[in-house]
Amino acid sequence: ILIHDVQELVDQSTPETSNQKQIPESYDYTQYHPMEEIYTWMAQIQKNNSELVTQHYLGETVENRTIYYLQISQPSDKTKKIIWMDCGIHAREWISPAFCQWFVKEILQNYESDPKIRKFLQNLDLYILPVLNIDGYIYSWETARLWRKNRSPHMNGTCYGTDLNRNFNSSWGTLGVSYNCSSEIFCGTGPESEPETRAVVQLIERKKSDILCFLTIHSYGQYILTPYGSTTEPPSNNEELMHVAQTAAAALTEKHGTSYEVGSTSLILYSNSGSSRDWAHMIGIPFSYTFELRDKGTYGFVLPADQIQPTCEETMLAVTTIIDYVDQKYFPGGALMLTSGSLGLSLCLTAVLTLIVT
Amino acid sequence: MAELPPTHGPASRAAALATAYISHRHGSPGHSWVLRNVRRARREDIDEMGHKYHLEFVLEDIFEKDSTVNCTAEVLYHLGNKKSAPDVQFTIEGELKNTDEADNAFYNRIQSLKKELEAENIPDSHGNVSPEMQPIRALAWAAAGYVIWQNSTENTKYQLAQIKHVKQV
Repeated sequence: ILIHDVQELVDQSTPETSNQKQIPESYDYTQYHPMEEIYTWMAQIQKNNSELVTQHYLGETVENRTIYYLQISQPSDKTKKIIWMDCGIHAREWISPAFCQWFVKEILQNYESDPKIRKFLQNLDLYILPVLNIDGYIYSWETARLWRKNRSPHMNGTCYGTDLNRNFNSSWGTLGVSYNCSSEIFCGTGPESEPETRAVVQLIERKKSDILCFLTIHSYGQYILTPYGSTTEPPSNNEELMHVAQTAAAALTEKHGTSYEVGSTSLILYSNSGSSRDWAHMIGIPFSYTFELRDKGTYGFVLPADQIQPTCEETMLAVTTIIDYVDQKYFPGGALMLTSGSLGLSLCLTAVLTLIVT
Repeated sequence: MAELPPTHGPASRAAALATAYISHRHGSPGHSWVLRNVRRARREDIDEMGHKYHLEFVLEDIFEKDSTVNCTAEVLYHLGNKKSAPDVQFTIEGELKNTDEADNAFYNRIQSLKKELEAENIPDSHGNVSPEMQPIRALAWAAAGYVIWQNSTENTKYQLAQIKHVKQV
C-alpha cells in the first residue's frame, strides 16, 4: 500500500471555502448518536471549519472500521504542544462520546468570542478522539447496551472482547484483570494485543515529546482520577496533579452543584493494570487524568439524554481549567494578542512593576 | 479501630453494601436509595471473625435527587467463609417518608390490569423510564439490594444497572 487512506488525503486537501465558523445546524448535541451519525458529523465539522479542524486517520478496529481523531489547530508557524482527549474506550459509557462531540462544538462555536480559547490555541493543539472503541459502541447500540469491551474474537469465536483499558503496556496483566475472555476485565492476549490500543499507542509514542496532557473520558462515578491504578506509589508530580485536578473539580461544581472526588485510581476505586492513563503518564506525559462523568449509580451507564447538556457544561469547565493551567505553566506570561486596547493595558502594567523593582 | 478515608475504595464498598441492604429492607414501589457520599468510616479487625466497618453516610432518593437521609451502619465481612453474607446493622436518622398512598395506588393499578404486566429494558438504552414503570424500578432496587447483600465481599461493589425483563406472575 502506498497511500493508506486516499479519502483522508482528499479530505485534507479540500480547499478552504468561507471563513465562517459553522457547526452543522441540525446536529443535536443533547441526544446520543449512533456511530454512522458520528462519522458524518466528523466529516461535516472538518468541512465547515477547515481552517481550524482536520480529521486524521488513527487506525482500524478489529472489525476493520476506521478510527479518526479531530485536530483543532490555530494556523500559525509556531510549533505547538498537544492536548489529547479520547472518549468511548468503553462501549456502554455513552455520555463519554457525547462529551467529546460537545467539547469540539463549544471550542469551535466560541473560538471567535472567547479570548481564553484563542489564548490557549496559540500554543496548544487539541487532538480529540470522539469514539475509540467503535465496534463496541456499535454493538452497544445494536445488540447489548451494557457491553464494555471491544469485539475481538477468542476461543474460535465462542467468546468476545478485550477490555481496552486493561490492554495497555502499563504493568500489563498484573492487578485487577482477568485472563479469561468471558470476563469484563479480560486484559487481552498480551499488552497492546488489540488494534485499537495499538492505534492510540502508535500516535502517542510518535508525538509524546509534544504531548503535555492526556485525558481519557469514562463514566460513571463523578471522579477525576490521577495515576496510578497499578500501584499506590504516587507519581512524581502527584502534588501538582492533585492540585490541578482539585481546581478543575471545583470549577465543575460551580456550574450545577455536581460534586466530583479527586484522587488516584488505586485508592479511590480499585487496583487495575494496563490502563491507558497509567501508560500515558509512565511514558512521560505529565498531566494524565481519567474522568468518570455522571452519575453515581442512579442511572449509571444509561444516563438519560436530558442530562447530556448539564454534564457536558460542567465537564467543559473542568477540562478547560486543566488546559488553561497547562498553557500557563508551559507558556507563561504570554500576552493575548487581542485588540490594541488590551495590548496597551499589559504594557502599562509592565512599566509600573519595573519602576517599583528599581 | 482504624479511621479510613471516606472517599476511598474500602469505605465506599462497605457503604454501598449497607445501602443495598437498606434498599432491600425498606424499599417499596415509591422509594429507593443510592449512596450519595460517605461521611466517616472506621474499620475494626476482629480476631477470628472478620472486618467490621463503622460507617456514617448519606443516601439519596433515586426519584428525588434532593431528598436525602443520613444513616449509620456496621458492616461485618466474615473472615474466610465466602459463602456467608456480611452482617449489616443500620440506623436511619429521622423518619422515612410514608409511602402508603403511592404503594396503594400502585397495587390498585396492577389489580386493574387486563393482562399480566411484562416489560423489558428499564431504563431503556437512552435512560428513559416511563412513569408507570417507576414503581417497578423501585421494586427492582429492593430485589437487587438483596442480591447485592448476599453476594458482596470487601472487594466488590455492585450496582443495579438495568432491568432486562420483568414479568408479573
